[in-house]
Amino acid sequence: MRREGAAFIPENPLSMAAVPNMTSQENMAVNNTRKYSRRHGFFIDLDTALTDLERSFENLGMTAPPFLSPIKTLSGGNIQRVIIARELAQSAELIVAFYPTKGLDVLSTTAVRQVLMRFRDSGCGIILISDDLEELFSMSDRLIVLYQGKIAGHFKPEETNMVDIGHLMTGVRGQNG
Amino acid sequence: MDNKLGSLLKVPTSKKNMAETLLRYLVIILFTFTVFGLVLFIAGKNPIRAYADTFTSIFGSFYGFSELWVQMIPIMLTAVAVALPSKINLINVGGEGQLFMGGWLATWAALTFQGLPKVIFIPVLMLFGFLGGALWAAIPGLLKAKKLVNETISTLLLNFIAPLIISLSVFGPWRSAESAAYPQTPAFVDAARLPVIPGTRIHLGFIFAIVALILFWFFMKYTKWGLEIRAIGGNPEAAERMGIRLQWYILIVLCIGGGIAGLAGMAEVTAIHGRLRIGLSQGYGYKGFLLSWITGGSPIGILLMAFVFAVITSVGDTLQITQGVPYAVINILFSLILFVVLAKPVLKGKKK
Repeated sequence: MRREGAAFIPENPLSMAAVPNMTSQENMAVNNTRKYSRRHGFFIDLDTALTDLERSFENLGMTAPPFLSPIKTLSGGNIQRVIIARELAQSAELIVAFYPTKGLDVLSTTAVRQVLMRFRDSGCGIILISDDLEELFSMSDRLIVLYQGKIAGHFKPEETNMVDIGHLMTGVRGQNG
Repeated sequence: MDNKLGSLLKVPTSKKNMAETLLRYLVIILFTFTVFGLVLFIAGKNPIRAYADTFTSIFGSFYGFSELWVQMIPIMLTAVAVALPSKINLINVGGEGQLFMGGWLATWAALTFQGLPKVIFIPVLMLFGFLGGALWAAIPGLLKAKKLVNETISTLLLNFIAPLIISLSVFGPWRSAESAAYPQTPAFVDAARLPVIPGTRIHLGFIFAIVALILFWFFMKYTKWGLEIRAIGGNPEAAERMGIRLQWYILIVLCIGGGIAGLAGMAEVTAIHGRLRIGLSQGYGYKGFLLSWITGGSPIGILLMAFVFAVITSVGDTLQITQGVPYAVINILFSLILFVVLAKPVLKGKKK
């Protein structure tokens, strides 16, 4: 999946997308060993992985945590930053993002949203899963509300409002009810 | 439980950790020898005499000392055979069986390709020894990769089948006509014997073991595969999501481990025995397993502790000769070591 240009930002990055004992640098490299392999795999170019990670942080305008300590020692927000920076470091055709701005400060949140919009503008499909209605309304082209595993309704953001969506989310009423 | 154990026995990374690790080994060794001395004392033997006898037999003669290195060879190889799969959380208890099958296939090659020159013959035998162990380990590897059978169970149970295959061969088709009384194959031709250091039994297998340890360290530290193996060991779910193929790694890593144990078997038959016998291994697979877990799979730890294990083995030999204690008593010593290793987290926890 990853090799075909899909990026994934899970809801719990440390347990779902990272190797906790490895450094951020190694987590960057191991995510794309095809790119960072040298001499048919007998060496791993960790330096380039670090440069790419740093560049991705710059693009996102986020402050860098220590990349060379085990990722599990970082704070939740920093782990989230590293995973986002890693996932968005290369071009993607599909991004699946669960609560991508969870645990981030205002600056990083804005930066992540802007980068996601940039990816959209370049033709990348994005599935954004979130319960932050403001975020959803400001970013989405289409909104799909799920309730108890079923689609409770789908809209364009300009066709609806937060109150209606809220009702659908909590199962108070269906789309036509 | 194995995860907890794995994280506690982690490979040291810094110099301070290294010193700590060395100290830990020293404590383990002193403690076990003391407790074992007590056991001997209770059994009415003189532990000081026993240890002194061992000391003279090891360090008193060049041959005695050289025998330590001979003992180290198979257990270092079987320890790597366990340590490599342990990095992706696989517990390979099958070093013993893999060693037997490596020796078995190497024997087949030695009896089949007679007439090859030594320079070609030895690599051919190495290849078949490796293959024998690797194919034997492929059985649990496949079963595990297909999520059918837990590898701990299957590798363990295959240990009981491999010696039967050896028996079948040496009692049956491969039995030497000259040694009717003793079931064994005919002696290998000279070109099929591993070179030894003259005057000792230290053979080329020592180089295999050292190279295996160095390659193991190098692959884990520098290569793409090592990185991916560490990722699987650290978080299999995330590793799979990153596009690492878990099933292939399970199969291939177990096969390589088995192959390395197979090399130990090949070295035993071609260097020590010069023919295939039933008593090919003295529990080398199990000693290697213990060695690997005690050292947390660290290559330098394996090298150091292999020496200690060799000393312990020769304590057993000496006791058998001088004090009339059965060799099996040495198993008490080995299990004591395992106890100390397992007890360590508890002791450390109390201190805090």
